[in-house]
Amino acid sequence: MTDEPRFEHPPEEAATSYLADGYSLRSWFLTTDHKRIALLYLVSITFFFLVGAGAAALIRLDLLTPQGDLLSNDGYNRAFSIHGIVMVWFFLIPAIPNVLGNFLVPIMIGARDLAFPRLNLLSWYIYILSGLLTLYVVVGGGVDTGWTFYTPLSSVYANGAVVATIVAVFISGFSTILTGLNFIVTIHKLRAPGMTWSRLPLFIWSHYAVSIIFVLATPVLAITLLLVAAERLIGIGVFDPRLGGDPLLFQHLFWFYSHPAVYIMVLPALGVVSELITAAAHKRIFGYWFVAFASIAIAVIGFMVWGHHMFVSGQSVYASAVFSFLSIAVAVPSAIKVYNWTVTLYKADIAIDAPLLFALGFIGLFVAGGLTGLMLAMLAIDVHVTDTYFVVAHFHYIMVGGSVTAFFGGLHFWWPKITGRLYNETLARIAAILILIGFNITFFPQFMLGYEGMPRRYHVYPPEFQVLHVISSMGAALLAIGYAMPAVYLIWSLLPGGRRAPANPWGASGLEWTTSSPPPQHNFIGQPVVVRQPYDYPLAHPVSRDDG
Amino acid sequence: MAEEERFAPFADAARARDADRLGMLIFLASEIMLFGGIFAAALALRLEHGPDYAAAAGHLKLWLGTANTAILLTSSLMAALAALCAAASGPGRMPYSGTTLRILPPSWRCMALIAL
Amino acid sequence: MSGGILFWPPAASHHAEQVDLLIGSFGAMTWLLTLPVFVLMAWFTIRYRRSRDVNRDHAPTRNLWVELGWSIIPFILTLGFYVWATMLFLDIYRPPADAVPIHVVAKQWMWKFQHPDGAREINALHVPAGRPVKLIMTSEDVIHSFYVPALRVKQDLVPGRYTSLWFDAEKPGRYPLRCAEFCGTDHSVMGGMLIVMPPQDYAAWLARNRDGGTDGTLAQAGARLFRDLGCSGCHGAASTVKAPPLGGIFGRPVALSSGDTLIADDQYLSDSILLPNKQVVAGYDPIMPTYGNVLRPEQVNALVAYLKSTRASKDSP
Repeated sequence: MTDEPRFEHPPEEAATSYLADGYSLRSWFLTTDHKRIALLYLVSITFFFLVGAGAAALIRLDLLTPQGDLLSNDGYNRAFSIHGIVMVWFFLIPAIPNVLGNFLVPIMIGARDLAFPRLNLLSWYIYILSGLLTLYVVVGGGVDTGWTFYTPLSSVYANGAVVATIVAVFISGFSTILTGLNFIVTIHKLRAPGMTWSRLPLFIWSHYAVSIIFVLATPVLAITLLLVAAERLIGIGVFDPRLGGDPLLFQHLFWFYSHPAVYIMVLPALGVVSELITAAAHKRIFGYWFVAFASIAIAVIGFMVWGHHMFVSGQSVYASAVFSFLSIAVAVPSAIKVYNWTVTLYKADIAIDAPLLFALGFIGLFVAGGLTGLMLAMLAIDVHVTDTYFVVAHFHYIMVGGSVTAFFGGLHFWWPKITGRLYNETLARIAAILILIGFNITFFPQFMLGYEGMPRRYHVYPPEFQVLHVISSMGAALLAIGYAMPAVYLIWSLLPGGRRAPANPWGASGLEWTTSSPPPQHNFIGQPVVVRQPYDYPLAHPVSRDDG
Repeated sequence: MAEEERFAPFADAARARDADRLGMLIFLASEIMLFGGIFAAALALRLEHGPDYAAAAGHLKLWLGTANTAILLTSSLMAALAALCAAASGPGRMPYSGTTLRILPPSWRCMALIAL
Repeated sequence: MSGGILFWPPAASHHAEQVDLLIGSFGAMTWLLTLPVFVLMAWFTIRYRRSRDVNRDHAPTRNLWVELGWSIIPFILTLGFYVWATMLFLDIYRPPADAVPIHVVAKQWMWKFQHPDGAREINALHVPAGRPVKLIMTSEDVIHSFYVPALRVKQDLVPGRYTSLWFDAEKPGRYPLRCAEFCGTDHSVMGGMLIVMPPQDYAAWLARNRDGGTDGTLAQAGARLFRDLGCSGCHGAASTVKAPPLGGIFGRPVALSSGDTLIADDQYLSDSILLPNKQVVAGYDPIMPTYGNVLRPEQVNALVAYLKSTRASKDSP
């Protein structure tokens, strides 16, 4: 908080904040303002996070004892299926892109909105429609196929509301595709004068990369699920071997989407962390182009590794060898980012606030998840640990330790900009540390359980595994407290007495910090013109204001 | 200011059209992936069950397929004509205005074409 | 749990020990590469925090050689492990010629085992210690997965296909067998036991359990099925229906009507019984009916075992 840029129009005289521009329901539910849509998404994904977390609570409670006496076998299967489906499609995939991305992409490039504002609103309504259908499934008893819908279990033998769930996920895919389309066109066509590709914030680079995946991978999931529904409803033999179908065909089609999907969940997080690190460090990122292109490389190579989910499926061993090699290759760009962040901290000017704590926590947990991912890419190791808790721990380290942590870091960092209020920094630091500790207690024991041979999706297990399960469940309770804290102090900051935020509380670079907190309806007063590099610290008015 | 608002968030009509074109191309790319998926599945089954596949093809009804194709092609033609009609009919289009959605009907003539 | 480090599963075979060595050494290498990164991050954060007055001049912003270095060197080091892991993996799919073939059929929610000499088991599998065992596996309904943590091997069982793996369990003992692919309601309780017996005990067990009662060996059971289902009605030498002769067919090349040629293996023989029109022999009409509705996978296994035991022309069915 050392550098306050001068304003030609002090905030008090600025145009109305986007939050004050209309208070009616209509002005929110028929808005085309990307900032309001971001908030609509924030409320919705938080709701679905709670649904998914509720399912997780049931799972961890049931796993406290080896006999599986809290839920029935069927009940447990439904619990983990709903947990996966809701968390993946209704929380993780939309969280950073549709909340932080929607809010920041136009502002960071100096535009007044996304390229297709009405399409943006449509994306939200499609998401809500699919979410309502999912809730209907949950309330109606759930689905028991796992989020992976493997055939012929899902297409022939399963008993739950498979088709309804498939329709819900199918519909949600279009929300994603349209968001990706919107971001790509926006980044190509709406950059402010002087905002060349070499001046784009890394947050934008990673959202560009993720949008490529949105547009190209999601349709494959859509059609695959449709085929499962078709087989279930009218009995065409696509995946059912009794009718000449091929169960492995489903796995290839499903994972062709679902592996890029996990990069959907992590790429935006990587973009957030680049922003958090540079802002906390008050220093230009080390190796800007390597970090920017690493995002693109992850997106591209990510399309070529799906077979690593199928090493023991009966897939050709030579195909497995190729997928293993490519899976190792895809780790390289992620490693590049981590090394670059580390060197960015060298000779920096670091403020250790909550966003940095989240960013550093992200790096630690993401690295642990990534290295165990490399272990899983090793064929002979994977044969032993695939389909065990080792994999469960691996992906939770990336998705929760990574993506969710980055989401919270970004939420804290941009909270002053989005809401115009400052949150309690002390409570935030405590929450960050609690989350990191609780997370490790929850998921580290699961690596051990996996190597010992505890399979996934089991709620009855050998008694000797109970110690680790109890530790894990206790960690989950701590983690829940850690996640509940931000809900409390962030909402608290919105109350009438809350501290108001200046335009640039962090002294960070980036166009979003040159406009008021919260921004006016059209993001800027006048047309921003960019004249300098991104992360141009020490801060000395990185943009000039063109009031013409 | 009205002109600026008309094509907002773009500065003018040319930029808006440019963005529309890029958007449509991206949408088409996603549609290729959608149908690509189903073609990939069909191809896989065709390769695994050559003789059965050929035998099943013999059961398809030529007249039904031809009629279906004809309807598809002509309905695409009608949609294109309807779009041209709407563009040519001037006021009564759907302008983008402000931050809330306002829906105005296109002319009835064009609606008929769309219905067809 | 038998032996081993706390929180480490027992290793019942040489392969298992190799896998442990692989993950241990790879883990060590990744720690060696990662620890400095964590240490540096922590050190930089503390040393360069805002309140401190230290030398911040000439902070680097780019360095091509450093970037290439830390991209390529760890990648190459990891590739070394890739080669090791891949070779170990390919091993699992190259059984020695003298491996004992045991058929496995999984169904919701149990394991069925068929020994070649006729012994049949459910959920428990007895094998001799120190001798290679090859599993030929399929599923009756959904995908299951055969997983013995102590052996560090796992393989999915897919309906409509045969998958296989082999192992050589050196240490006698009882090792849990678990289903590792979600298969529905009772997935968690679809367990079993792999019982590795010293050679003498195994011989005794075999003597008590062979012939599965009155069925004889697996091949003999298959021969009976071949008769009872009327297969020789078309495939027999005296038949008026033109059907390919089956004597000694296993392992021989077969010319298909599509123009391709394949070697008749378990999968081909099984497909020919369950999906006869999938691959039609050149010069024959696709008139064989499917037996998918009347045969369970164990019966198909028996038929295939019988066909494997026949010789050309002399024993022609």
